[in-house]
Amino acid sequence: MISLTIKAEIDNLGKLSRFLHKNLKDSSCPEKIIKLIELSTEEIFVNIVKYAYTAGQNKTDVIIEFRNKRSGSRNITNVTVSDYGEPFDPLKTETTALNIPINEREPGGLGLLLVKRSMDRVEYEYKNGMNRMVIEKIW
Amino acid sequence: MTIRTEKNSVTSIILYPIDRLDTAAAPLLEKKIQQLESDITDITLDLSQLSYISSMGLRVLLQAKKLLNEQGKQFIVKNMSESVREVFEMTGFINLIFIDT
Repeated sequence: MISLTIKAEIDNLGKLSRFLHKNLKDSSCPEKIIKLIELSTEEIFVNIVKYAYTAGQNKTDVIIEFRNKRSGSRNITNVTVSDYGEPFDPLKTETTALNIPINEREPGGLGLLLVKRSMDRVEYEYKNGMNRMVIEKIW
Repeated sequence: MTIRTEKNSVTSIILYPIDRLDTAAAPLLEKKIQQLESDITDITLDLSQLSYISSMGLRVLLQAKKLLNEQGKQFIVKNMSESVREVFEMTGFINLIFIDT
């Protein structure tokens, strides 16, 4: 397992992207799959930046864990994104319906739709005072 | 992300966003479109040099389309790479924005 700890700030998106890109390249992951994993992780991270922290809170670290498991010719990439924000299960919110005008949609819903459609497994748990989103891609 | 612009005439412009249209970069494109000179009525967004787009990028494109259409202007998106097209397709945005293939 390889991990990265960054503050919940949009400016850290570049660090997150470079972290994933390097580790996925090291696992010989195709560019197309790298983009999908980067996209899903960005959407989860951005939702944390926007919604998880209330003013005055100082525990703003976000921890990203990367795992890649190879079995035969198949790879299972697992990325876990953890934060100390208020307990919040994004999977319980309704995924954005496409016929609803964009301005009336649930904030973050579009990003979550992308996560669900591009990953093979998406899970949420609240453990040890942290929100944990787990995404998995098989390639 | 940087944005290259190519002005074809007084009324027509092509914008080329380069590299990544992620959450950090999306406001740059939004501002660029909002600040277009009022004479420009024909706006093309050429995505041939864009390799990545996230939901915030999609939102900016949809808002641009809304703003420009309200002003009676033409807004066309073209030359998407395969991975950018996939994001448009996954969200249904492929049907919301006029795409010139």
